[in-house]
Amino acid sequence: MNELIQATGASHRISIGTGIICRRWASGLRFIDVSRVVRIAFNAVSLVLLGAGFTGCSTQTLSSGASLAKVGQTAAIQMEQNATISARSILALKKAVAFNDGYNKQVGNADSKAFLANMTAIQGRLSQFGRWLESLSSSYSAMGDLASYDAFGNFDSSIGALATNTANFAGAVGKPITIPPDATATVKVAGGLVIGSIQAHEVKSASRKIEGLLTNVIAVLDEPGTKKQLVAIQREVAGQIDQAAAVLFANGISSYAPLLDDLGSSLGLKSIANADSLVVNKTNVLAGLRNVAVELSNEQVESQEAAYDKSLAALKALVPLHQSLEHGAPLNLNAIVNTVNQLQQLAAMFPPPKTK
Amino acid sequence: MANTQPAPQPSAQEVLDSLASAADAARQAYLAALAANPGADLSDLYRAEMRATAIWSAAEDKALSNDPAIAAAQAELDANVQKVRGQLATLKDVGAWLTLLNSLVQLAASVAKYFA
Repeated sequence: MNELIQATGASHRISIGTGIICRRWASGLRFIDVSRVVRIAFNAVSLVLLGAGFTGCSTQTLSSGASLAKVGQTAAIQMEQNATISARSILALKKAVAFNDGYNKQVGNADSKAFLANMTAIQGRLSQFGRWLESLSSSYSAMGDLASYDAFGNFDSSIGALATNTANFAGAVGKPITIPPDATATVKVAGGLVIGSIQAHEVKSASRKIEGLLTNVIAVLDEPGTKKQLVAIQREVAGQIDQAAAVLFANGISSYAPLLDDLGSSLGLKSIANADSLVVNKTNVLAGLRNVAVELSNEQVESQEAAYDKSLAALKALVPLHQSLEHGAPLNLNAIVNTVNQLQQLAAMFPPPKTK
Repeated sequence: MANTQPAPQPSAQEVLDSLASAADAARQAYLAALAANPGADLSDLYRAEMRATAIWSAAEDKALSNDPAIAAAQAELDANVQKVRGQLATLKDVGAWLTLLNSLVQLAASVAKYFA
């Protein structure tokens, strides 16, 4: 008798003896012929019993795979937030250059236009790093699904996108690499009814694919010059904004009062009402304030450099976790968790400029 | 007879650093002139600054060609950048700044031609 069971669950596990059968029912509706399932299950039992000794390992691999996927995704999302600050800064740069052009009677200046076009093009190429991080996040998410309920299809497409974006990013920073075909080769080894050890094998295979692409990008980021390329744009943005601010103050339009208050706050000092009119005539005080403004600007650039270093450290911290997973060793998440926390602190120090 | 060794070929990044430094020196010169001459017309200085900035940003987008003459051109540009930086605190005259910046821009342009 063919009996149909309507299944709506995303993940089911059936224990048989000491073995575990992990049965994936994709999201949505799926109809399964139970008599066929019973036959397959009968044949599978012997495999399961043979694999019983490996079950503990499989469970640990799946659990570690899920943990690595979660921490890897969190790290990638945080790195992306740190990396996209410069993308949002382009609008601030355009405003500053527009002001500087207008003030200096250079509206339509060909060099200003070329400069902004070059900066936009550079920023566009560098945003490839953000796209790569998005793909990394998706791949970890898909690996987590693979570890949880053998969601093979998602991983297959995610790792393909990660490979494409790895090659695109390397090309964008002038260090083209060739991704070997096996970097995205399928990890699928069994059909809908999968024993835990096979699912664990798939997770390990997925881990190796991500680790390989991760290593490629780490090598690119480690090369001298890549960091300068990625943060040079920030220095130029900060310089143009600083120039516009200096012009605004020199013309008596903007005030140094917020800067004075910030400087004096730790000493309990507050600026007086006519501070700016005094500052403008005291060249030493003005030079001091200008220096503080430049320092704040430098701090923003240095936070980008620090974010680059921390992101690279985070990527490097993921590699031994992959290796632990692949060798069945426990994961030590301390390094990656600490680095992600530091990235969060950097992002909080200099939030992206508000845009309307 | 002295055996003159050719100057080592600079890397693309080293040349980009020189061009970025030239653009920054031009901006600092503008700001120094602004501080010393509030309200003065600094549009010529600004034009020179943006020229230097555009040269750097265009080079940033290109690859460096393998011409040995670039080492000497880079050295001359770096020396000029130092000259500009050395006068930031003392030079007040806008005309004198303009002469210095125009020279800087010419040297930056000559270095940038080695980018394909």
